[in-house]
Amino acid sequence: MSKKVISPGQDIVASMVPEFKKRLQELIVEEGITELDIDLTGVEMVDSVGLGAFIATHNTLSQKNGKLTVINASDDIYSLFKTMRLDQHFEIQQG
Amino acid sequence: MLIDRETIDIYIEETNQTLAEIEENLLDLENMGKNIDMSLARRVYHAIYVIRNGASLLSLSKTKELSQKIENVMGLICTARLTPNPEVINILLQGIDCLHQLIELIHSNEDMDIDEQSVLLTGLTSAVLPDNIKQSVTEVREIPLPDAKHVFQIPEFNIIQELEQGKNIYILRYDLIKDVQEKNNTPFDFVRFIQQHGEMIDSVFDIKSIGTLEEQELGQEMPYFVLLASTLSYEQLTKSLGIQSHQIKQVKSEIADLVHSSAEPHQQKLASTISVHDRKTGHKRRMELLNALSCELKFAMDCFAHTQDGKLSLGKARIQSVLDGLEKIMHQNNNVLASKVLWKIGRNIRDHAYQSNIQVKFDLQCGMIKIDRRICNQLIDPVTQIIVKMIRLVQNNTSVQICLNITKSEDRIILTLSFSNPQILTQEIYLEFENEEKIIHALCADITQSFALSTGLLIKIRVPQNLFFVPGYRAVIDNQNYIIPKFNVKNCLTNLSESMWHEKDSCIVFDFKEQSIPVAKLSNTDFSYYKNKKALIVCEVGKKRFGLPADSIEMLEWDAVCQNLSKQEDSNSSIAASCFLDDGHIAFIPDMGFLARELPMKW
Repeated sequence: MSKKVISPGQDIVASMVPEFKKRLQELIVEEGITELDIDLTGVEMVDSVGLGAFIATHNTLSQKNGKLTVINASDDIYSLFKTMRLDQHFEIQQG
Repeated sequence: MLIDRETIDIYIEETNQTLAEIEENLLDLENMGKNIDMSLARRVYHAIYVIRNGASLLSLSKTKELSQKIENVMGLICTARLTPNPEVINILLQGIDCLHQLIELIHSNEDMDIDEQSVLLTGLTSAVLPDNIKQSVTEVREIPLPDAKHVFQIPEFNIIQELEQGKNIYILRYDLIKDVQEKNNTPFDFVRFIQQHGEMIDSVFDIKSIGTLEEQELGQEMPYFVLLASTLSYEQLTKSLGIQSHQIKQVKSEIADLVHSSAEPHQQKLASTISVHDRKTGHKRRMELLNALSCELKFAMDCFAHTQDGKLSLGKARIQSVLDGLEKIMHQNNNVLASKVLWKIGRNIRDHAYQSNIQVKFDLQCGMIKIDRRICNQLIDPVTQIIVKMIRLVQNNTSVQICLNITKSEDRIILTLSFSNPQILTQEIYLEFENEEKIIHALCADITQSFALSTGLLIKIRVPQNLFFVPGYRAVIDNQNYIIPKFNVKNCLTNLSESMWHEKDSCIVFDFKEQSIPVAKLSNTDFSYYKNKKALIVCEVGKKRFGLPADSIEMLEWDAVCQNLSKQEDSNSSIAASCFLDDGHIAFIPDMGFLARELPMKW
């Protein structure tokens, strides 16, 4: 099991998602990371495409028996993920 | 933004006030026995319903779950299916206490176990229901989605409660790309929009359709299903949400038997008998008063600006009226009859006596004395623990009588604990209460004990009548605790890296989101000191924004009681006051105004 923390440091929105997904893919597929923490420090907004990136990452890791954890989510993002029941798929920790 | 901090703070304030009212009303109900005042029972039902709805909007799952269970029990009382005897009220009060604690823990993710209260309340509901719906409390109903790939699993009783309130149950289907992203909407606003139309009982993503990172062709749609309870009809909801008929399905056949249960003739539709807007909340009342006062203050300022010296007395009188009004609001907010809060000590003692199988009579004598509600709440635990220790002194006796007498001196409230029969102790003996003493000291209060043959053991707690509270967050800076006033804190950044700090215009700055935040200096140290700090509290004083570097910050709100500084501390201008924390630590309260003023002019 190899673990890594990735900190996007900016809002996770459509404009940055392709590059972000590419980085995530490198980590999981090429570097073999199976336990991934996405650190949301400094992230204030996640749009629908961004939500899709989280779910795709979760799906990818699940196929490899890995685990996604979202850490340091702001109050708003934490609340959104809980309302949308994403906490039933992966762990979300408030900042 | 879905939920800002102010909204949460308003919810906390209103809920605390509502819970205090509910406690009083429950005690009144207990005293009424079988002849209960239904309007009072409905008021409690409605109050808890409002708390649950708020919790639902703020996604406070435990608060929502527990308030739902209390609401279920109150629903039974309102429909005369359950008598609020002392046992029932005791369980409800324990639930309310638990809600109080959950509200205190909102900022720390409601990190608390509610299983015990949940089981007690569910048991109460289940015990009195008719056999045909008794099982609904524990049974889970499966509601399949139109795609047949997913199923909602909802406790049946929750569905029955929604139906009893005249609501319809719908499944909504959205594609978050097409219906939200492409319409330039954010998920935050989308969820809020749905919640304006009813209660989101549950929701689910079709996560398989979204695919993996490697499956680029997938991810073009994000199916998202919502189970919504709404008072709106199918046509009204479709129109109001602006959705098409294939996106909405009313759940009927799957819950047909529950509809029947909820339509039993002896049951009333509670929601239709209670107006949601039948009373103004405490917050609204206070806002109205504050608005009136700010108008008055504006008149006073105009008076000063446009009138002759001779008329200044009019302006002065107006300002005095504003000050009087503010004092009245402060007084209304926090000063309560001691008996209305401290009765909980009696209940705690009763629980202890029950568990220890001894008889304890607790006599609370406090007349009409009023104490600040926050002080009262902080006193409950230590005083309870001290009484438990008193009981243990005489544990060979099967019957103990303890008196808590509250009196008022010039500037202090004095709580005196004693045995009603002083001779019960045959020799001079004293209690150890180091932990309780810490909590009491944190309130600027002191505790002493004395022993005399005539009076027995006397324990006196002297609490100042007026304390200055600062709500804030606890931070550790250089191994010293600080309380940073809540109203100055705008954000908190953690896990910082060295590269984000640098020097600019003779000031140390922190780069965050293309902005440079000037860093305040608590002490004169070099640049390397700052770049080793792991947290930055972003503060605001007036229009000045700056960062306060810290080693760590705990985003759990504290009500710190300001104390006078000692002479040594007084020499440090960046510290405004000190306070004891109830874990025995001393904390400083920084002078935020001083820190802001010390920044270079440019900033």
